[in-house]
Amino acid sequence: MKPTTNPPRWADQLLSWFCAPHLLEEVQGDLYERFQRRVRVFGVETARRQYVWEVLSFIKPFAIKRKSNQTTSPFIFSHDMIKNYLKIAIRNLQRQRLYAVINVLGLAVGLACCLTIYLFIKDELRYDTFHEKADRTYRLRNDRISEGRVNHMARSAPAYGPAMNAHIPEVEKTFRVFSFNDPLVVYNNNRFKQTGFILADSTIFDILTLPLVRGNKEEVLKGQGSLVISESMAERYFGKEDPINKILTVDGGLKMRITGVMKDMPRHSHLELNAIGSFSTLRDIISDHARLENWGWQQMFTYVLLTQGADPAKVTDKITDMVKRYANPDQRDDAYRTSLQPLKDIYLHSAELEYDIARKGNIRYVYAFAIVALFTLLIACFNFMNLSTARSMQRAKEVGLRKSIGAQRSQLVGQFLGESMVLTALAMVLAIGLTAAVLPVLNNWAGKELSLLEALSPMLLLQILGAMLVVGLLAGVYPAFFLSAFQPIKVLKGTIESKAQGGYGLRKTLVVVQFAVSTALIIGAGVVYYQLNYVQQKNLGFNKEQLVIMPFQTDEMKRDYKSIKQELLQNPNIESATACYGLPGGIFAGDGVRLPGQDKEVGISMFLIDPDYIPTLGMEMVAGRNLSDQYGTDAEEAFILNETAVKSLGWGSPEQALGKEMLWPKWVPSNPADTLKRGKVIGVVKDFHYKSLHQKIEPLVLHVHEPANYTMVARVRPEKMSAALDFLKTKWETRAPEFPFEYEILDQQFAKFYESEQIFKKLFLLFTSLSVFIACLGLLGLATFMAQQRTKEIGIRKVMGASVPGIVLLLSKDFLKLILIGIIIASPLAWYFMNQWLQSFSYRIDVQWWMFALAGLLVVGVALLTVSFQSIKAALMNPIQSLRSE
Amino acid sequence: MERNYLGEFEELVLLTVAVLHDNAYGVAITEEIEKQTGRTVSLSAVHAALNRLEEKGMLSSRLGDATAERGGRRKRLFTVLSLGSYSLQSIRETRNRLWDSISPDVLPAFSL
Repeated sequence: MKPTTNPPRWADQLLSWFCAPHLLEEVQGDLYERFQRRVRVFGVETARRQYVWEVLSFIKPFAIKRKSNQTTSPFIFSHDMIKNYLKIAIRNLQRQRLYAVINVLGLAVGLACCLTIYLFIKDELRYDTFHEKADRTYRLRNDRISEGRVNHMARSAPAYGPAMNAHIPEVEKTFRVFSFNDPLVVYNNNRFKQTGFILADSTIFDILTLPLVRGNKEEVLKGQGSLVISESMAERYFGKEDPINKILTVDGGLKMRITGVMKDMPRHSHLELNAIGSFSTLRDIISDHARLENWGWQQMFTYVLLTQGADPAKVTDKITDMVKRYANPDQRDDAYRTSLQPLKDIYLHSAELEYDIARKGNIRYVYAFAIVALFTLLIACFNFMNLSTARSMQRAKEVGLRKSIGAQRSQLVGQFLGESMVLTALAMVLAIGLTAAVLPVLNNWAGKELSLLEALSPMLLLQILGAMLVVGLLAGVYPAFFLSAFQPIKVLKGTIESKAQGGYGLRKTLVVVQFAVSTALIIGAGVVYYQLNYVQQKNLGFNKEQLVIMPFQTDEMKRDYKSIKQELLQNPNIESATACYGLPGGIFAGDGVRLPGQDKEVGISMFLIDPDYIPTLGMEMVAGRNLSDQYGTDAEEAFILNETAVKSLGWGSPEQALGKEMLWPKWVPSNPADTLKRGKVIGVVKDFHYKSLHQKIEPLVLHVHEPANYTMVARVRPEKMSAALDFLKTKWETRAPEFPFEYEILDQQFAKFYESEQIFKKLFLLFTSLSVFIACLGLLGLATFMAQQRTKEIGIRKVMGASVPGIVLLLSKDFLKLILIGIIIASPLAWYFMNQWLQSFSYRIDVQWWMFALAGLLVVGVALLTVSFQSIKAALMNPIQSLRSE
Repeated sequence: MERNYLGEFEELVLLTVAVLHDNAYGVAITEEIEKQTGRTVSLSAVHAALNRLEEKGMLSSRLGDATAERGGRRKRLFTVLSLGSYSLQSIRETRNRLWDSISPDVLPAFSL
């Protein structure tokens, strides 16, 4: 017999874990004996294997079942002990309902916050994940960096796609998207402003996951004018009729034949796609077909599918090479850097991209909310820790008694951790209920479609369970170790009084942290609030109120705009009107002008207007004069610049710019022999914000080009909006009876720029108030406890002649100190982070000292209110009562 | 009969305990059964049966000596109690009665 041969250790451990203690010795002895014999007969390997089998075969009820009257080594999780723990826990909760409510409620609110934010973040991260090839799909983005001007664009020129296919081997497929601006689509009597209407290369069906219900993906987008529509769109236009081969009329003239029907797209897509026309249809729309091979006409969105395992960084370099090598130098703008943006990143990481049609979220908000959720939960956990340690004195006797009759420390830790787990579980159930109840309201409020049911999955349940364990542990671990460390002899003798203050340092720290976090959140909320108000109320350089925008419905209306304008002005509710192409907050042209003697075009934004435009929008001239009908030549020979354009063209001051010559190739020349408009600068308009305040004001030229005017803008007298709209509707319907009257109101248009900020603002304020609420709940608990502890002291003080205000001050002072420290810690942190956030706005407020003061005052005020309620109660108590009881 | 019902394996174990007399414990019983019947018997099955028999009051047990090959653990030694002995006896009598009632030549002949 070799003494070194032993059965596998783990099997032994397993056995001693599951086997009932009273059987263990004989069973293990027998197993060993048999093992040793087998070693002799079969060798070590076989014996060990058989040992494991035999151990496993002992997993049977008779071996597992414990003797009921076991007293020698009590099992921590034995039935009786658990019963006892539960009974004690429930008694404790019942005796101190206030604390129980504060604990559970605080935790429940914190968890509900977290759950909601978790659902929100999950929803944000889900975008575009349904495309099967999403990991290999990218979109081109263009960043233009030149003399201090930075533009980020999602658009690219039409030549890129085909060129990448031809010259870059890692590019498997590409497709280009040309987006219509919600065109009017007509079929018989059904006419709708159709959203999500694009033209695209047929490869869109190979790259994105867009299952077809009718038609096959090789054929549907073959011909010029063919169109694939979504199921819901088919239903909308054709009801139960078969949509295939039906003809839709788009924007008055373009005829498109339906060749396929696709499934409706999931909501979680950055592209809204209801109708996809063939890319070649562009030839019907654009007379200058050379544009479709252009390297500088940035009107497309180009999507790229890379081959398996291709490195996007290398492909980016190859794109740069390709542009250098193949692009037409006249059309090439070397200031552009083209790169690849992963499909899954488009939704969250496109906030800075201009001229984009994507639905957008913002990764900053995702991070911000994650931080808020974490903070809120932290505050709630701290409450739990604080109250449990504070109340430890009440349970010191229990601990002492348990220890003296043989409880192990591990058992006590288990007991207290278990209690916190049970409370956490209770809070979690409450939180789920709370979330379910609040979600519909929240969705309505924030314009989201979050749903607990939709997110419900085994994975979510598992995550919730995991979160519960973590929170239970986090909240319970300190009290558990703190309580279980009591020495029984001291506790039972009653000399632990001083020791009970041991948790005091930690308690102080936790209160400081809680209020630091609350203060930081309040400051944050304040800055967000003021910045967004600033954005909405900032003087934009024009008057955005009371402006109605109505597109001309027919070409006749366009041509006849002067008489329409006269008709509108007859109405007393309309102050003025103008026809134009280009509005602040709306779409406008990006074009180029040339200066005499220079070959290169200068890129510039362009508003095409009439003489009434500047007065109607309430803009201000800083030099020169406005366009005027009195000078017959203004339509053909006059340009107006904004101040930024004057600077960027290098003409020192607005006055110096006057009279300078500029050239512009006309879009629709009246005389085909002379396509160039030659004119002089006649005036300079004060800079106004025509993009969102996230972006800087850029060079802009305003001038007359009548064929381009596509919309009428009317300024309506204050308070007369609805009357004016009725009037405009009848006017438009007599002019173009076959079209529905459509209008937009400019300031609503502008508000869309800040929609996501508005949602952010609302949610941020909500979660901030909740976290402050939870922190105050905790403070209330602590204050109550302190007052109870000091009942006798207060009684004696009163007997000795202390005044009520004196006692209130005494009780509040300690807390106030902690809260002030919290505010001092929070301020610089909040300052730093909010400054970071403000950087995303080109025009922003400064973070000012009074915001900190206000936040601080608010926190101190609320905290004082919470504490003083208890301290006044304690101070008013009759000392006889507090001193009599012993 | 009902009260003292014994399963086939239980009967074997009980008999073996009697056979081994002073040395009836888990491993010894298992090996004895294996030797007598030629089938492989798992230790846990024997322990389970012993446990059941003790609960039924047919066996009693005491802790015996420890040996080195048991890693210094004591064995549990079993003794048949009168209830066990009674059960074995009655089973045997039933069997004998049945054997006696079989008329000769009914069972087909075979050679061992």
